Amino acid sequence: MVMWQKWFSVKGKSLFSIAFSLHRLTGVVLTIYLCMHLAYLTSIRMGKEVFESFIATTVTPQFLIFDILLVLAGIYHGVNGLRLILHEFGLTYESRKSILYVSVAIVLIVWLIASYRMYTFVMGV
Amino acid sequence: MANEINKEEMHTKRVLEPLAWIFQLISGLILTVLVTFHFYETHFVSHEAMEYELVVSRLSSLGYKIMYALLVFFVAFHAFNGVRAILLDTNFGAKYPQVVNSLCFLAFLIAFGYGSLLLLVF
Repeated sequence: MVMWQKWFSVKGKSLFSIAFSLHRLTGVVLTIYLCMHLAYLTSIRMGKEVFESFIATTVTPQFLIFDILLVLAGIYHGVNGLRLILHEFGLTYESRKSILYVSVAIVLIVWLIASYRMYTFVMGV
Repeated sequence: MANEINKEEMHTKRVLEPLAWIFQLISGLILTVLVTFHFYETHFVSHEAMEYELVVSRLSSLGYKIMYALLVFFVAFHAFNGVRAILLDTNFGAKYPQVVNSLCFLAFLIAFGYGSLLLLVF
């Protein structure tokens, strides 16, 4: 099995291995988004009309689901990264399983708040 | 300690040089703050945050220029250093590490250069 295919395999994996696979997957997704975001920003240089037509296309209820999933990837990558940094410096190593559960809970809470905020932002509520 | 942690989680550390690994951690920490601020500024402050005039006014301010320049630098480094670690972890990367290193460094330069260019226009 090719290395990246292993990221999608869950059978027989520990929670830490799944967290590791998700960290790399979200990292790749965010890198692709970074390139798209930089390309998207080119529209600012093209003037108000071009920029606003991009905004009118992308800041819409149809795109909201992609934005919400992207934010989930970003929050997961950030929170899991902080967890890895803690362990790297030997902190909280004894309670690493609890820390993993806490970090998943933090991801879900922050994601729900951010998603609600994005929903009201796009819908103009 | 770090070397006791799950072997799979330490893949990235094993394939990167010590300095590149430490800088990956530092850039990750800095990005947590900068990306949160960027997201807050564009989605939480007001509904008008994405209007052309406000975007241009932010990009024209020195404080925002410095913040965005730092954001582009750290995000480009963190992203392509991470991609480099993934590629070095493959059979191809193990066989041709110089190719992987050069391509990722080039991608970092293009992303940082292009992002900075956008800031210089305003």
